[in-house]
Amino acid sequence: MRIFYHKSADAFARRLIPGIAVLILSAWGIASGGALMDALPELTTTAEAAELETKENSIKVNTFTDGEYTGTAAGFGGDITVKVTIKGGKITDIAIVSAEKETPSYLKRAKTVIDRILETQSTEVDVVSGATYSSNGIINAVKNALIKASGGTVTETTDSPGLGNTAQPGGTTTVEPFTDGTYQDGTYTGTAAGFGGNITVRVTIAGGKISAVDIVSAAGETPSYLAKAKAVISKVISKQSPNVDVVSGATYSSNGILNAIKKALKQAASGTTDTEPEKEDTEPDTTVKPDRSYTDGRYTGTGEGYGGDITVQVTILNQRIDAIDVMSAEGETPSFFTRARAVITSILNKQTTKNVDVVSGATYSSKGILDAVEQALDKAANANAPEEPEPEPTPEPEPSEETETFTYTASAMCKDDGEENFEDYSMTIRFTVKQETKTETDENGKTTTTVTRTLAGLEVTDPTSSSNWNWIKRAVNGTSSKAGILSQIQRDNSVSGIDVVTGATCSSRAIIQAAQSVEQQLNLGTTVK
Amino acid sequence: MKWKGNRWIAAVLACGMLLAGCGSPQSVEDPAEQTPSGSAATAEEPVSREIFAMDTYMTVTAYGEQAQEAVDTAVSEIERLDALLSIGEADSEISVLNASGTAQLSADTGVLIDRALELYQDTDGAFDLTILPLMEAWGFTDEAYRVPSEEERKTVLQYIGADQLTWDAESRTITLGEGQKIDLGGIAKGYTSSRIMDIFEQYDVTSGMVSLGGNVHLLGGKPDGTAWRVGIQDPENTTGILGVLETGDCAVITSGGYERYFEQDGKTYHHIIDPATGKPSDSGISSVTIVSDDGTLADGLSTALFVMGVEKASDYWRQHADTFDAVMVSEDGTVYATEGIADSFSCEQDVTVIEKDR
Repeated sequence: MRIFYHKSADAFARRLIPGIAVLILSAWGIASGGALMDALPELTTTAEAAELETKENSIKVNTFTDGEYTGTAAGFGGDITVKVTIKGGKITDIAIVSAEKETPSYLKRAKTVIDRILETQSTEVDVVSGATYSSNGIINAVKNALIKASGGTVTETTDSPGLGNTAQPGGTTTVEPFTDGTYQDGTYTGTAAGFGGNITVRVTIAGGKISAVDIVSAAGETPSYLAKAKAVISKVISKQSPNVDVVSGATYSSNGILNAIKKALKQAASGTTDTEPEKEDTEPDTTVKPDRSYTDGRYTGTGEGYGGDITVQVTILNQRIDAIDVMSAEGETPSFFTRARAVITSILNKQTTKNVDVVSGATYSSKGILDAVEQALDKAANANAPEEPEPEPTPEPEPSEETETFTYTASAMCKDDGEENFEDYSMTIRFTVKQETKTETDENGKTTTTVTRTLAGLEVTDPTSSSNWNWIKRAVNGTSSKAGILSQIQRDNSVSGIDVVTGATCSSRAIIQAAQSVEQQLNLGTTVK
Repeated sequence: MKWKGNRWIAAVLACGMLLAGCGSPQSVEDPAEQTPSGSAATAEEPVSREIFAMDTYMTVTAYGEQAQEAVDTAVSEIERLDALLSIGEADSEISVLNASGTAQLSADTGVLIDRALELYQDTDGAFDLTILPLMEAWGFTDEAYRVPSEEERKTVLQYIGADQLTWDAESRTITLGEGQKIDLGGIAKGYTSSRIMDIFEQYDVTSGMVSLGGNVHLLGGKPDGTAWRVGIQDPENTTGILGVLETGDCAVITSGGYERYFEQDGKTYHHIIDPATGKPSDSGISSVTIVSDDGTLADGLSTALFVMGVEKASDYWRQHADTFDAVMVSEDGTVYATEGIADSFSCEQDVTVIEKDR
């Protein structure tokens, strides 16, 4: 059981984790032609990019043989192939040979990852902010090429329908039937899909028995899972059959190894050696039916996470939930993305968000992301036509001569009232008031001047970024279910009777206090003269 | 623990009688018809609050007309118990006790001491509230992880043992033995979740769910009458689930070494210390999930059974089968479930059912 209380470290850590806004773009490259992707910016934290990396192998530089090597891996829209030149044992050039489905702008940004690889002589580089999937594609393609340069063999992914969606594993959990047979002495290779790519094994038959199984390549597998999955090998040898249980928790890697062994043994039974690498099995499992009928298209949904709102985009294809992408997750920590990926995988596999209501042992709640996905799925279930992409917001109209703006500044202390562990700090808030003056003259020549003053903006000008920024934003803007202070003031056109925003109590109180301290100057409301 | 469906059977029967009056047969699954007339349309919309307390994230969810009050009261209760029991706060009752060696305790703390000592006796010391000096020696309390020397471990082991403290339940006075410190962390969240269930009932909530840092406790079933679906974390792949337990009206509490551990010189040291050896328990278990309507029991046993290992845990269960059920995963990946919940637990892997003696 978790140690009961060590508040200082964790609560403080939570406060210190900066809320970096994350906007991950995932427009469907093929359908949109890339235009939408170019229009929207993408920001990625390094930590989040690390979470999205599906491969963790690091390649040692000084084992390369001079020459040119190609490598292929899945990018965002499809496969990316690179040509890596090794001279004097160093990586001297990386050229993109093909990346047909990547948009030019994405590719341009992702090319800076190439510069970094050349600079650091390592593939352990951060993905480029704004082009996560393309970057990963290039990095993985380079890794594959470097494996060859080190004298290894690697079988590359072919075009996968997943479009770089991190949630879909490439392999399968189904067990392929296999009848044990008698085997001819010799060595045989077999390849089958693991979690992140193909796994190739070499099976040695001696005296008619399976005497050894070696993993020739498994570049797409996460090392820790592969290590666990390797346990199936000793089971196979002691049972003299590949009909053994997979390793709990490393199902895909285990199945990849076992299926590859089965393919090798099939050749061993007939005595033929087939050294051609097999085409990867990337058939998505379409046997699970969704629990509702969905209309194809893309739908967004928002839910409230612990740190703020979470927005997702759900893609329905062939009436199935095909992809789920996190568009924004304010205030969430890097570990959120690991959980999000797991939740997404589960939803995609089961085609439902209702598989579990809660997870025993899971410290963090997945409620935010589940609510967001459910909202999107509700739209998909009720839609008759696909949702149009959000139109550009109409620009603010130019203030007319009758409109003036005034700004007022006030400060207040955000005080830790003993519930949270943060230091008191001062906030400066700028209030922007819009004053509209309308003068009307009626038929009798009587002039009426109506002056309306409303709060046009509320900005915290100090601090502008700090460990408390998430809570400040939450207080000002609110969440999908709680109105922020700005909208409350605008709704009532008054600074009285404003509720604090739950979860940002101290920030809310400070802002309300500041607003009320300049109540007279703000002078919100309408006067008629 | 089999979900006690009495309230739900009553509700369904009531609906059935109402619907029979309407003259048309209705499916019991139809959620719109499930709500008996007279209860608000808001029965379907939950009220939920998330807070950070007891060093972890907590979610409290309730359905019903008074759900908001229920949830708010529950959150206050969490904060109250947190302040009382925290070993991280120097002025909590427990911290003060640990510093001075003796104290007269408040009612809640007294109840917890009673339960902790019961568990200590029942589990032959596998659950021991005096384990704190060992946790400190391994650095689990301040995240300054270290492997204590053989000598240090043996020295600290001398102070471990609830039999060394004296407890007078009537006056609620406790006196610790020399070098002793206690931590009620092993049962605090289970106790808290049970208190929350009481609060829910006070506010006529009939469907509720809390997760206190992963300690799940459920009131009733879901508003539509179906059982809650509780995923059990996979110890091998902690972002995934092992299987789904369909249940209600009970606590579901999981303990696993993977929750907190550190690595040194290629070895992994997890936080579930065996009070007998002073080292991380080596019983061959990866995770234990206890299902019981008694939250405090579920919490304490999740640690105790982890320390016991599959064999001893199975024996222990057979002697106490009326009070809890369990799902266990051993290090070799085998999944076990006790007979009482075997039918409610669905898992992709084969499950070995632990049966009672007949």
